[in-house]
Amino acid sequence: MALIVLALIVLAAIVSANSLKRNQKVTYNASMDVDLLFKALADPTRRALVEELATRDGQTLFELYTRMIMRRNSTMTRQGFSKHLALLERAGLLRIEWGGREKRHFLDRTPLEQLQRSWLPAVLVTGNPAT
Amino acid sequence: MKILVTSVFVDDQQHALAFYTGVLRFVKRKDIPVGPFRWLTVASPELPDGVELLLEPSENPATQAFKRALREQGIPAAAFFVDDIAGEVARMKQQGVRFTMDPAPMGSTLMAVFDDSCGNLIQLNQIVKAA
Repeated sequence: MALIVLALIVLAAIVSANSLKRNQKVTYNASMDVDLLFKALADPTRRALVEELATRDGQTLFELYTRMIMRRNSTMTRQGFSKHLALLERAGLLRIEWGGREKRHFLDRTPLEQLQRSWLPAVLVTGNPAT
Repeated sequence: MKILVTSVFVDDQQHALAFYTGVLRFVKRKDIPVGPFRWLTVASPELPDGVELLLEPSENPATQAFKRALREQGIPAAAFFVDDIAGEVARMKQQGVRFTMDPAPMGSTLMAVFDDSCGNLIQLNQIVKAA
């Protein structure tokens, strides 16, 4: 029991040390919603949206929608499009900001970077404790 | 039945005339006083007797709401066609025009989107001939 408590204290110290290294809203492991992130990326249309923004960031709704329809032969409706964007936003992958009088859509790579630093290394190597 | 006139809603008719003739190089066709406003149209010098574009005032709160909503989504109010989009964009940028989207392939056209400084986004297209 004492060993478990000690392990938790050490882990907490590591977590807080990592948190202090970066000025970020989502701390290491604590509030990252891995379920939601994977759910967001499970859909091919949403992955396509992420890819579009990764190649050209800060697109207006019109531009993003038009690219999806024209470049990827999507038959997505405007409502479907909005739902996909809403989920991406909830998963922390999408940031919407005003740029002049237009709203622009930005890819937020933070959840992916966190995945890269936490869950992936933990399971890619046998023996590492999962977060 | 013929389409002789189409329109865009502009914040200020005098400013719109200056932009649509000075920058977009349309020519003025009609300028007739109508109450507090003008029946003000321009047309392309490239097409004699071509369709006229009415520069319509947007005093009505309904049109203002409409413009704002389109604007927010980055949706253009009208689309014009050019033979050399790269050249046109370069020239317009030199005259201080802000583009929300630089020329990019979109279906069978190259497409760009700019701010007409009258409250609208305008789409510019160059048709790309199939090889």
